[in-house]
Amino acid sequence: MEIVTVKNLSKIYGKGDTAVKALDDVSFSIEKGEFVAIIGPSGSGKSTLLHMLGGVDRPTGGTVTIDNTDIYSLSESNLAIFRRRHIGLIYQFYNLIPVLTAEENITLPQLLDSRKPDAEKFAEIVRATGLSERLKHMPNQLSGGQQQRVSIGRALINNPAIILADEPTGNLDRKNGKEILELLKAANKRFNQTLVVITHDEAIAMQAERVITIEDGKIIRDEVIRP
Amino acid sequence: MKIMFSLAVKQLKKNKKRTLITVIGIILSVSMLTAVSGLVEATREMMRQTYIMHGGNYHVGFSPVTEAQANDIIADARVESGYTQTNAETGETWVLFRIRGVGRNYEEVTVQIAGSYAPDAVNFRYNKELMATEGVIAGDNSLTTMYSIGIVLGLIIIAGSVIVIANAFNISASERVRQFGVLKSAGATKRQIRVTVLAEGIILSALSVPLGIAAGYAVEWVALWVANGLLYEVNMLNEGALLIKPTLSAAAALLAALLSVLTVLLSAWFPAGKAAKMSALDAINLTSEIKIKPRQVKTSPLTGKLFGFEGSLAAKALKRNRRKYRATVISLTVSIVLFILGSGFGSFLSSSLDMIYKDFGVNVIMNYPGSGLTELSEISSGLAKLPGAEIAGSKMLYASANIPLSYLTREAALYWEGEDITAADGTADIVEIITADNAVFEQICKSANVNPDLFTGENANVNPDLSVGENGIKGILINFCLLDDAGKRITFKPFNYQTGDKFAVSRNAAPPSVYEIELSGEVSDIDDLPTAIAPYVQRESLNIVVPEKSFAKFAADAEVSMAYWVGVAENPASFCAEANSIFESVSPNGNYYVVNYEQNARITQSINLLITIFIYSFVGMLSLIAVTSVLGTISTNISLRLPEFAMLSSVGMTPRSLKRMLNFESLFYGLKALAFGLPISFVLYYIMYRAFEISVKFAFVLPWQGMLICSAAVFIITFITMRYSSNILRGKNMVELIRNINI
Repeated sequence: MEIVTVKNLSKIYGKGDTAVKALDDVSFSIEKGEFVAIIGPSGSGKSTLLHMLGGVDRPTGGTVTIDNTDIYSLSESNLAIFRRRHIGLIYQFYNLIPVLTAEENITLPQLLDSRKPDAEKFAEIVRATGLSERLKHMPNQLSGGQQQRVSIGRALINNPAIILADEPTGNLDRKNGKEILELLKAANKRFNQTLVVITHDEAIAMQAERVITIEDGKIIRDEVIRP
Repeated sequence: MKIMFSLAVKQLKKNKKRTLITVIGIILSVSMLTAVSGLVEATREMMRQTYIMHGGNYHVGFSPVTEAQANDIIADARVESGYTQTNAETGETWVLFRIRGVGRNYEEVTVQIAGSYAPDAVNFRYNKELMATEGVIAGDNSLTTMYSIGIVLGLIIIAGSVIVIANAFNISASERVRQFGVLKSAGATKRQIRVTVLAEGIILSALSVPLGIAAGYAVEWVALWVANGLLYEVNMLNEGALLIKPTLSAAAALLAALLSVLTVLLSAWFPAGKAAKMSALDAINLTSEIKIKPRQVKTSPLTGKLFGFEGSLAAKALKRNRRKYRATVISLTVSIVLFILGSGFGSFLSSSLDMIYKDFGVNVIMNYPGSGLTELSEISSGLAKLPGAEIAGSKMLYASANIPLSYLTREAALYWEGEDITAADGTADIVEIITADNAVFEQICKSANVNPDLFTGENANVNPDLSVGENGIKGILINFCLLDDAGKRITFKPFNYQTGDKFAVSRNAAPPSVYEIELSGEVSDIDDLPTAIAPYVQRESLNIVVPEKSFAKFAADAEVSMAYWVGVAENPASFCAEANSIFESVSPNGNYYVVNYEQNARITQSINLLITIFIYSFVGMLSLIAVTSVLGTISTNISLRLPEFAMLSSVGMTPRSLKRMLNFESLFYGLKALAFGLPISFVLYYIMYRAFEISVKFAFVLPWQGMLICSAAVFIITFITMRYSSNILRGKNMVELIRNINI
């Protein structure tokens, strides 16, 4: 089942002479449960692609369909609601809300939805991330690895259709980085969670099932490295 | 050194918003200090000139002196200038002079001078009013009041501007700590870092202080121009009053400049010190800056219940940014306090339109004391013929009676304390026997619910030969008093009495005759009083209205103590002119008064308007300071938190709930500011009230109106600022912001 379909996606920043084609007619699709790595040198357009997939920026042309929804046909508000229900975003710098506890940060998408946090799902996430001792802590009282776990928990809480991670280990030491990657892989395996990771780290990319290489806004290689 | 200076310039250019806010803050505070001190100075000078015009330009004087002695005295080195004045009646010559370098020992100096030139001098005169306006001796009440107002305003301005300027610097303190860290890591010494800060302060002050002084002088000039325009009408009547000339007080301008520079320096000094203490790396990473413990941002579950998740998020954000939040709250609080004090100030001053004019709608009032009945009826018929006016007349004869003090109500005892109403023997003394035209009297009977027949025919037993205890006069008591207690209208019933009470009344005119007066009823409601009686409700006496016939018997051949004519004229000015000529023809000695109340009221109104304009323009400027500071704080705060908003947005916060969150923040700001501002302003208002009370007696009234207006204004200001700030948000590309976090 195709969970993400990208058709003729293009994004141009600026106008006239200064216009930069960040994405140039990109098309591909991702199956449910797939673990995809997007790699490319800096400035290749991989971050732009991730933002397009995450519904935080609008494309110049083309469509992105997630879970049978053409996300850019949605209004700004509906897109925001779609994001919190169907997309999990993980950033390099964790981007937790500093005034909320770890627990509140994990359940943030549900709090924004004015929903009562799903206790069962939450317990499962706490188990998986190993944060049970740290739930009442503020982000600044957590280590980098712990903060990233919280942000993964936040991404997972709503059973999103897709998790997008932008250099999730970029700010961590080797040991923590490895653990985070294991956690992501486990989520991918255990919950059959679709996972897209952007990285310039070949070693991380090699753990994925499929690697898409981008250069100058175009996909230059798209290979399945493990079935 | 040079590099540090150019760094300061770059810093100012980069933080355009902060620079602008600071410059505006300095300009406002300098200009206001200049204007206020200038106005106080100008008023003092006007008072001085007025005293010179009315009393003469001298500090001291004595008599008697001869012309030769006077010339010697004026030529003395201790004397600045002087002149002589001869009293037309006594023929005594006075020498009046200004003492050179006059001081508190003026009496001593005067006696010395008199001793050396005119040993015969026995009468000494000291022009204390003039010396007070020249600052030689402590001023009289009005001068003290003016100075205390000036000082209070000055302190308020200083407090307000310190907060604005400090705020503007505080906002960017953390950015600056980082910047100083970078400088430090590049090898800048502590001293060099301090130099950039100093340089910034100096540049800012050099830029804004001259502008502020110019603006302040301009404000003063415009204010006085308006004031003089309004005073013109007053001057027309009050011959000799002077127009106020603008003055520029160099000392005040200097003080303002100093204060501003000091504030700027102090505000920038702290982040510099902080950066100096931190290790360069810590400063750059700001690792020691953000420290939040769960307890600090704990919000009550009620907040969440009441305002939803956005509400508690807003509350948490405010708790985290406690320092910046506090700065904003303080700014708002200051403006609340200023507004309430300002409007309270206005209500202290703008009051006291004449009560009679307001309560009875009378616009012309004439009186003629000490005349015969024939003259009065001549005037009455003359006035009745004047077109376009409705005039009612009344006459009054002073009388005495021994009324026990227990007749006075508590209010009368309180408000008439020390008045002549009470005689030494503990009895009330002043009685006014009043009569009015028949129609008026009938009206009074009706109001008192007394049958007019009671005063006619057999009932009107008026016999001058009757002695006390036998038959007497019947009358109706005007049991109503209207007082103007420094702007507050006070009405009360002065007497406790019972129908049928009798007491002996003797007229104060010769030959004395004693009657017994019986009170047949009373009128105690202002609405029931005919306008003809209006002049008596402000008098502190027992006012009894009797029928004309009784009055004529009582007054007999004596002079009528006072006659009033009051009424409404279509054109009061021309009516007064004609009335004047009638009075003139009857009373060549000119012992009469014709008052155009409408004009009086207009003058009062112009003065009130003048004061109101001053106060509100001042409050307006002060509020401007506060608004500038609030705008600066909130918008900078929002800019600093943009990445956080982007983050919330990326995890699916809709633009609407983002806006909701911001609105809640502004609501909380406002609530907190009001929670501080209202009680503080109440206390200060009370202190101000006490300060004013030194010179004028006032009734304390809470400035409700000001409080309500400013509560509404606080929310409007914060909402507008938030809206403005969230517009900043809308213009920003979320991706850009997310990228910024990731760099």
